[in-house]
Amino acid sequence: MLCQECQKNQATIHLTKMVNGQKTETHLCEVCAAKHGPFSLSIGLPLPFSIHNLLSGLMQEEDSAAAEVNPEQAPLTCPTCGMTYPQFRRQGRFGCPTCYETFESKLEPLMNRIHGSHHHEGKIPLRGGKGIDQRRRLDELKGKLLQAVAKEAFEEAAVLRDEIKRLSLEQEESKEC
Amino acid sequence: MLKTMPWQSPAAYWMQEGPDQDVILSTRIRLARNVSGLPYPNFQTEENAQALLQQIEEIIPLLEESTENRWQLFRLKDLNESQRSILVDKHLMSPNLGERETQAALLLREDEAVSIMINEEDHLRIQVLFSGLQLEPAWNLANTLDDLLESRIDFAFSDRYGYKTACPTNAGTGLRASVMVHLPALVMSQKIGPLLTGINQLGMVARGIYGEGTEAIGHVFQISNQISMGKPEKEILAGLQAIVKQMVAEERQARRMLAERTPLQLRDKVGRSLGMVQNAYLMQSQEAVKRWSDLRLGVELNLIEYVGYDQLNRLMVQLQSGWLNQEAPADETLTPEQRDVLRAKLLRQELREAVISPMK
Repeated sequence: MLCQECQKNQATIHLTKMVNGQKTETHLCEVCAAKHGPFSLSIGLPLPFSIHNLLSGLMQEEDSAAAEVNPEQAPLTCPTCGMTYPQFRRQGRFGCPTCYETFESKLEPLMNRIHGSHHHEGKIPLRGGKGIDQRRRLDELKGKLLQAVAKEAFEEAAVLRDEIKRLSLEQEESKEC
Repeated sequence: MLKTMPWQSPAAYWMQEGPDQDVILSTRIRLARNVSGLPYPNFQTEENAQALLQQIEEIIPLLEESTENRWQLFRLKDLNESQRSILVDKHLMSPNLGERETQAALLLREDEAVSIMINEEDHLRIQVLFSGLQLEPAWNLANTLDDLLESRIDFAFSDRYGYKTACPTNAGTGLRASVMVHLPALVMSQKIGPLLTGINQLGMVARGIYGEGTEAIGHVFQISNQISMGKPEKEILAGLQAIVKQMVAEERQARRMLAERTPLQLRDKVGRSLGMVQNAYLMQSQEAVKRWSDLRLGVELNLIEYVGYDQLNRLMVQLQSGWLNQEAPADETLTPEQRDVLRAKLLRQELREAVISPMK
């Protein structure tokens, strides 16, 4: 077998990669393997597939049905970077942060497949995330209020209602500044 | 400006002594962040890329003041092949950073505990690298640095999808936490296969470094979280911590079993590898990795004296072509055979004092 990289020497080093149950093999000669080094994380190896190819596969499956329904429609295009949805699907990477809004209608199933979720939990940026924290807190309180009403815990509900009112007012005020 | 350049020494911050170092080499926290309103590095203009580098340069005084450490920005175009390889081998940058040569840069803290890649796949990748198992301290530092940077840069963030990264696999927290482990006994006792499969089912990824599973030559694996959205950072870290702790316990148990059942074979294996590295004059990289793993196992089981973990960690850099190529005349690279000669010489020197501990 010839080395996959130089296609000249005999391949003597055989690398098998298992990622999420996906097995890939790379065959290299000593000279080419030495370039990668014995402990290299092998990120740079030209493997037969990349995570982006895999993603692209995930998305194509999803959309083939939808495309047939409406072949005439112009593809979704990001106003900031000009990336079209078919392009995103091919590359498996966004062009710019605005793409998240542009392709929003398609993202939910994709994120579910990758992460098993389509909703961020965790850190919110201190400056850029102002208001988000409050919004999350408000949502949480509203949920609790519904529960309290359902189990007829009216005293608790009254406390929650006041807290929601206070937070909503705060939010209004901060918008005005 | 840093006092010594990172490629002048094979040592890095993560190579010092650390918790659970008999099994765990290092802990890495990586946060992917992007600038709001700008195309990602793959699609951005040269102008935008340079503007970001400029902006980062202006933040350095703030970083220096708040971390009481020197920082320096290295533009990739100013680094030669050998210097880049050493930075990769020291795990301070990814090999991919070199792809966007004119735009990419590495912002490095002097102690090398923090390296921030600029214009890799994402605008910023904040990396903290600690020794041994230290997920929480590493996260705390990364989190603080993230806040500092965010005080000057508007990060792309959405209420729903969290930090907006170039690749959807990193979206949400943008967090990738990894632990590098040495598992020779689990490989030798053929328990590694099921263990690695099990890890995948728990939402983590295990990757062999230079070879996989039973074929992983150095018996070094990297365990990381696969999922970055839907769970808060602390929960992701706790999940990884629990799995890694379990692996540490299993590896230690497998070592005890080997030591009890086949003490002579174990001593023989370690002793032969020590004999090889102390006496060989040609050492290919593959064999070096194999010997290295045996020596580490020897240190882990107290079968070898006068070799430290820090020394073995440094060898991970020194045995590689990047480090060895420094000996080449300018603008030339060494042939594989020339490297084998240098590699053998280096091993003879580094391990000349090592001895097998006396039998009890």
